Amino acid sequence: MEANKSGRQSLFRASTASSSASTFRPAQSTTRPGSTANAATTTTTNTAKVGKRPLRTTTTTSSSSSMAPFSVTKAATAADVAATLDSFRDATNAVKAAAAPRLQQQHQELPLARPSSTATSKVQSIQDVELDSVDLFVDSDLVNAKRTIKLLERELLMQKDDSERRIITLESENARLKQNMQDSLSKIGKLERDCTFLLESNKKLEESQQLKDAEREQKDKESSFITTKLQSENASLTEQLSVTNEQLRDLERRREHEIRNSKREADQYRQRLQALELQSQHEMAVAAKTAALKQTGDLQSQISSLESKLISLKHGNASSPDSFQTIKKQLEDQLAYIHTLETSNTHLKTESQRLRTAHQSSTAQEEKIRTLEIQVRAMDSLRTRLVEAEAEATTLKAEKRRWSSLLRESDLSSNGEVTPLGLARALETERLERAREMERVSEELADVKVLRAHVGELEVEIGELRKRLADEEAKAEVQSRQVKRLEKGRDLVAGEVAFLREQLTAVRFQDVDADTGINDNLLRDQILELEALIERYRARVADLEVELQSASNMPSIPNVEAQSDFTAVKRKLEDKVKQLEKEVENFDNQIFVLERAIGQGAFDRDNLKVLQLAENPESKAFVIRKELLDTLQAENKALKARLLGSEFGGLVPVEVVKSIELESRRLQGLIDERDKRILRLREVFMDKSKEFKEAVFSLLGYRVEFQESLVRLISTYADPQDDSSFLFSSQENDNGTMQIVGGSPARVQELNQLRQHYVLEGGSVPAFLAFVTLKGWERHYGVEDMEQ
Amino acid sequence: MATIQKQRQITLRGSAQIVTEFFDFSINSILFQRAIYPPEDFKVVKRYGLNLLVNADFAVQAYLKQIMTQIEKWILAKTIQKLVLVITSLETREVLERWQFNIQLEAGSSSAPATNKENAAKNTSAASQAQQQQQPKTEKEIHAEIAAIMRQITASVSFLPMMTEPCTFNVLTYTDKDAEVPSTWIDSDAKMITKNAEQVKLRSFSTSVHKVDALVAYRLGEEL
Repeated sequence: MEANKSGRQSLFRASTASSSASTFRPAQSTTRPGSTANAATTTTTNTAKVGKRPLRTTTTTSSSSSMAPFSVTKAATAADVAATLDSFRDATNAVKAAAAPRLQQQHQELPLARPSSTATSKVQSIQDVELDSVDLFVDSDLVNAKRTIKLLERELLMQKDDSERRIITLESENARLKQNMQDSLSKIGKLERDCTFLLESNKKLEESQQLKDAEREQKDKESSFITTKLQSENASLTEQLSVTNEQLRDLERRREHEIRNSKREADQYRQRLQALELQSQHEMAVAAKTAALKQTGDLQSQISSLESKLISLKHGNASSPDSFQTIKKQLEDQLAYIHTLETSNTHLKTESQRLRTAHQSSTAQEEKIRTLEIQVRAMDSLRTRLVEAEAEATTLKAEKRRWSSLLRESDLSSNGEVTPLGLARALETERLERAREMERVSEELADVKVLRAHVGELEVEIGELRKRLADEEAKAEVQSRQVKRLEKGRDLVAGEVAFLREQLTAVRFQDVDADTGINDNLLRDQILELEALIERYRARVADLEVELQSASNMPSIPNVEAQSDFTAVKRKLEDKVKQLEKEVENFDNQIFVLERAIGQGAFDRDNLKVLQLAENPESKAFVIRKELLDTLQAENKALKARLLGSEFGGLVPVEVVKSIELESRRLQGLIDERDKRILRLREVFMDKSKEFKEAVFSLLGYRVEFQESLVRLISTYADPQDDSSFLFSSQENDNGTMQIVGGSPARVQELNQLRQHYVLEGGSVPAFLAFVTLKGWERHYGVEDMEQ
Repeated sequence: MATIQKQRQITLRGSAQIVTEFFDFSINSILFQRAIYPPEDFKVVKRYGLNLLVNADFAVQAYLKQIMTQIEKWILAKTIQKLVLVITSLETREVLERWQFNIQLEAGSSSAPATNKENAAKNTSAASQAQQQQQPKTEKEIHAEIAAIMRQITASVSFLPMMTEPCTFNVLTYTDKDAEVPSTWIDSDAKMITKNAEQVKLRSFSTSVHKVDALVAYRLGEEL
């Protein structure tokens, strides 16, 4: 089944080879036309089969044809071989034609690979057999066939070699790949070992961790035990403290009591002191008073005695100068005594003053004493506090001593082992560390939070920037689009300019051989102008290009500005385009005009000349015509002469004709003169009548209009809208009719009354008219007066 | 009649022959179409695949032959720019129609036209003139173009105004100033149409050496 399939495949491939070979057929046919007849037919059929397939390249063809022999050996049936033979022949023909030089070259290149294939030799033998059988039927093609077969074989060999080489290379590659694989496997093994090792180490680590955890738990327990113990001790200590505090309080109470007693005593002493002071003062005062009273009593008694003495003396005055002298002596004694009294009195006063100051100083002393007592009391409290503190310190020192001894004991008891102190220390250090770590962690967390916030901000910023970027990109795109558009516009403009240029040159070319002299100069000027215009436009286009480049080189300018700039530039360019379009229109118009001129025969007089044959039908015709005209004119002249009878004697005498002509000329002149005169008179009459009318109007106040047999009078004072006019028609004997035309009914009635009075009764029209004028004037100026 | 010398390569001489032949036939055709001479003066000649009418009058033939020989000389000397057939009214001597043929030398044709090895394959889709210039045309193609112009001349009767008055014609040539002029030729004015001028551009043909444009200008009637 598979063999069959491959056989079919081979046929197909052979046919594809033939199809590719058929492209080379023409060359072959030119070289050997007779021998390829059969091959040609078969190739055509095969190409018909595979005509729709694309032609393969020569390399693919050769590879496929190299595959073909293998499949043939697999098929291994004569029928299949026979079926494939035709296609083979074509293929071989083609391949021989196409690939012979290449094959040879390849054989030269690969001579070593040739003897390697046994299969190809087998195929060769089979094909030889087949070709021998074909020899019986075909002889002319046989040679070709054989050749082609040989070529095919060679190619086959070549392909074989090629394939073997490929196989070898593939095997080497395979080996390399295997090695690679092994390497990779070994690597994998290594990695697995690493993996297991890592797992073990991990387990160990976990165990150690567990152990550590257990130790820690134990330590925790011990530490908790110690803490409870310590707490209990603490509690006992607090109790002791409270007891000591109570004792202290008792002591304080006692001390207070003592202080109160001492205070009381002090008060008593103070009262006593006060009483003593009072007594002393009183005594002093009393003593002084009593002394003074005694003195005064003594003095009074002395005075009385003296008085009595005096009286007695008076009585006995005259009697006793001795007495008098005694008295005098007494008096002197008395005076000395008074003197002593006064001195003692002053002495006493000074003494009392001194005592007063002493009293004052004593009160100050007392106050001092009081303050000192207070200080003493404070000192007492301080002393008690000191005692308390000392007691506490001693207790605490004892406690400390106890604790330290206890701890030292425990320390000493567990050397190397976990001691409560060491544990506590470790715990403390660990706690500290943990706290530190916690702090660090918290700090770091805070930092992380800050950083996260920062990151979030940055992300937001990034988003914004991206958005901005996208906007910028979009703007840039828009700008680029605008730039493109502008460039397109510029290109268009340039194209237009080029077009105009072309047109101009065309016009110039045409004008080189066209137009009259005047026109030509004009045209040249125009052309020069147009060329200048074009040059200007080119310059402008160049400027625009520069602008564009600068615009594209400066993308950093703000977008809005750029936008506005772009719009401005765009507008400018649009304007320019419009201008150019206008110019193009103008040029088109000019071209149209110039073309028309050229079409009508305009030419360049400087460079061209117009020629015609001297003898041309036109001139001939004109000559003929002129001759005809000349003869006719001659004939006319002759006839006229004959009419007038110049030489042959006419019908009317020449003089008569001449005189009549003269008369008629004279009459004509007269008529002309008359006409002129009439015209002048009419003009004069018109002027005069106008003058007359003006005079009447200004002097009599009526505008006179002559109508057909009627005279119309319009008053100067007549209201132009409302007022009336008078129509007079004259009849024989100065009789006439008068009519009032227009005006309001009231006015008409008034005028009728006036007419009745003046015209019908008085028989005077001028009076009526004058009255009307007067009335009109009155009305006109009356109103003005009233207003004034 | 003129013949083309080679199959594909048209020389200046061959081109001149083609152009003069075209002028001859076109002038004859115009003379017939515009009734300058009575129809019985014309005989039918087959050319360019058409039945063309040629004046059999001896005088006219002699006149045209004289013109054509001279024109061929000028074409070869490259001094002629235009050939104009002017139709004039006999009565008023006014120019009624101008049939103008511009003769242009095609660019690059003066240099050897035989350098066309790469142009063996015919490019039928050549649109631009530049490509056409580079590819010499066959006689058949040129004749087809000429036939188209002849047909246009015939068809132009439909839009040209009727000629009610007797007319005559003249042939003018626009040559360079330095052109050699035989004594039989005299200077002329341009014979322009003075008023109511209209013009219609006709087709053109190219021999790949010369390009001939045709144009008819005419005076519209007074009533228009």
